[in-house]
Amino acid sequence: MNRLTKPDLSVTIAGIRMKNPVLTASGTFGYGREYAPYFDLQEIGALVTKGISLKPMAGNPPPRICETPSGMLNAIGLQNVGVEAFLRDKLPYLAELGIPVIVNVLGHSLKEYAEVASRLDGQRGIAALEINISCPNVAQGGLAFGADPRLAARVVSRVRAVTRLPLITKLTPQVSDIGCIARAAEEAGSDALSLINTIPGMAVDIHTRRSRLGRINGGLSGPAIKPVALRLVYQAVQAVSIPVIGLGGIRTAEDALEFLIVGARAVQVGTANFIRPRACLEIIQGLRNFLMSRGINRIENVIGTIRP
Amino acid sequence: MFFQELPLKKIEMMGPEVCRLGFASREIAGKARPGQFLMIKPQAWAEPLLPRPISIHRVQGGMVELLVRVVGEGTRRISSMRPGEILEVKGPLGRGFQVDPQKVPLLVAGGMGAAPLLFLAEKLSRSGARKKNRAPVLFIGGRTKKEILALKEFRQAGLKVLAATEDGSFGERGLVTDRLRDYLEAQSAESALYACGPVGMLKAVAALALKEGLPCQVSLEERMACGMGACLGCAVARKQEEGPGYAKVCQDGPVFEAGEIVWDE
Ligand SMILES: Cc1cc2nc3c(=O)[nH]c(=O)nc-3n(C[C@H](O)[C@H](O)[C@H](O)COP(=O)(O)OP(=O)(O)OC[C@H]3O[C@@H](n4cnc5c(N)ncnc54)[C@H](O)[C@@H]3O)c2cc1C
Ligand SMILES: Cc1cc2nc3c(=O)[nH]c(=O)nc-3n(C[C@H](O)[C@H](O)[C@H](O)COP(=O)(O)O)c2cc1C
Ligand code: FES
Repeated sequence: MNRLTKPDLSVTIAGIRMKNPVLTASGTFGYGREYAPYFDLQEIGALVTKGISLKPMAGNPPPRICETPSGMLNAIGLQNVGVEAFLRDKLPYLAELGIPVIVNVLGHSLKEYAEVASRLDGQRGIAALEINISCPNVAQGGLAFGADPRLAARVVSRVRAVTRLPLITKLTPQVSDIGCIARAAEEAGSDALSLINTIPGMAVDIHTRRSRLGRINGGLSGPAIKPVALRLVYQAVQAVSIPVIGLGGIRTAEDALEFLIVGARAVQVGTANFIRPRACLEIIQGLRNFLMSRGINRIENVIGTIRP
Repeated sequence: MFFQELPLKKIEMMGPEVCRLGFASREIAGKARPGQFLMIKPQAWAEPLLPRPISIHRVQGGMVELLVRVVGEGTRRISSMRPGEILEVKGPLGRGFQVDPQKVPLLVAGGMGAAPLLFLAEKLSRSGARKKNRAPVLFIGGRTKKEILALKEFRQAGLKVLAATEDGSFGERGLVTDRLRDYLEAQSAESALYACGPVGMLKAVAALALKEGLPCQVSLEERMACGMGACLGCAVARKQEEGPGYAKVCQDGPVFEAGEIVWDE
């Protein structure tokens, strides 16, 4: 191709066309507006919101974050404004951005997932729902819904029954067989998958002998988790025929390319946004440069090209 | 708010643990208000991963100055930078001090708490807020003389300085809040408190303000990842209509009305 023409970065996932494959990861991009002073949000492929529950949630006591080698632990505790305040105060702004907006949905019971999803159904400005099945299931002593394929499938089918919006199921890495969970979500009606959520971890202050977080456990994110994430994404791609969105530790265009090459059709950027608020933009530009320097005219021609 | 990559203009050690650094940014200098902070990170180092929150210490023309105490790896890396090296800077961030021009400003600094209060002091002296007999007063304290920072600059800004150290090596022996208490008992002028320092000191200042019925603003610290309201990492317990909830130190603060805060958590 002519090295001067701009390559085509667009991808289509679950019927949603995105002008590039770079999305924001839930919980790292607020409700969008926080980043507007730093760059034009219309540049990103799609925006994923903080997880939304039925009622507002106060979250965990501080400290909620601590840095670890090449990563960070967070114990935010799913703090969010609740679905009603989201629709009233946050969605109108997002709906005007002109990019696909994906709302991350969380629940503590099957019923809560379905109630949040049905409240979001039919609202102008929402392109899809991302179901966070890493949440603790209150009825089963806090074990994550996403840890059990049958339970994961039940969450997806309950949500499927109440909305026509495309569904992206977000998987937890804390499972023994990712392919099994991935297939369960696909069979229950999920249109796409995203992975990985944070990896459970902890850190101890040796002077006080307490957790360095307000809770014992936190979720690990950032560059430290990238190799783990990449392998799980690769395995999920092998297991299903629906599109997979890869994330975990992506900081540069090169990181994003690794995920695309193993078969992810798009990527999400999380922790990197905290370090460089224009991280998504820099990754998009880096993808464009990569394609141009190699004379590749479409990002599609990179996806799933891992060699044996 | 800006995200800029700026060459360090100057950096000097102010003792074994504290350094003062400066860079030029007309944008940040133009927008900065006392009490606001920046997220900073040396570009040359991938680790530590996250930027660190540091208060704006001083703004002079287009120059921004920071005062950093080395307490761990992040601040050590910052303090070891050389002029010309690139600092990634995000800000100015947060809600700063809201000054009531009708009241005599009483500034209370504990240790590194002096950093943002110099910016406030210089702003007060520039805006001519000090009329006769209404000059702002600085209460400054630390464990030892070494911890008393920027004294000369505070005096140049026209503040009356009342100091205390725990070992008596400078000012009176004792706590800065002892000096504040003595002062408030003897003084009747309408005043307002602006405090920054360790949480124990802030709590004591808040209690004194409540007792005397004085308005009081405190600058709080919490662990931060983004500094811009996106991660919800920097929670502080705040009284709200619906009962206690969490505010974001980076966005709702770092400066809060002392009465808003749930101190016992
Ligand atoms: C709004 C705000 C303004 C600040 N302004 C300044 C300033 O002007 N000058 C300055 O020197 N520092 C300031 N700080 C504190 C500074 O951000 C921390 O000291 C720094 O992040 C520590 O990083 P580190 O990697 O060196 O230490 P770490 O390795 O992260 O920690 C070392 C030790 O310091 C303690 N610590 C770290 N961060 C904090 C914190 N935020 N509060 C209390 N204890 C902490 C840790 O518990 C640990 O014991 C400010 C903090 C906030 C939130
Ligand atoms: C502070 C923080 C909050 C998060 N909140 C959510 C959330 O509400 N819902 C969710 O599905 N994932 C949440 N995540 C997980 C991220 O979306 C992402 O899966 C994870 O951080 C790995 O990507 P990264 O390494 O690029 O950050 C959160 C992550 C962080 C760091
Ligand atoms: S530090 Fe991220 S919300 Fe305050």
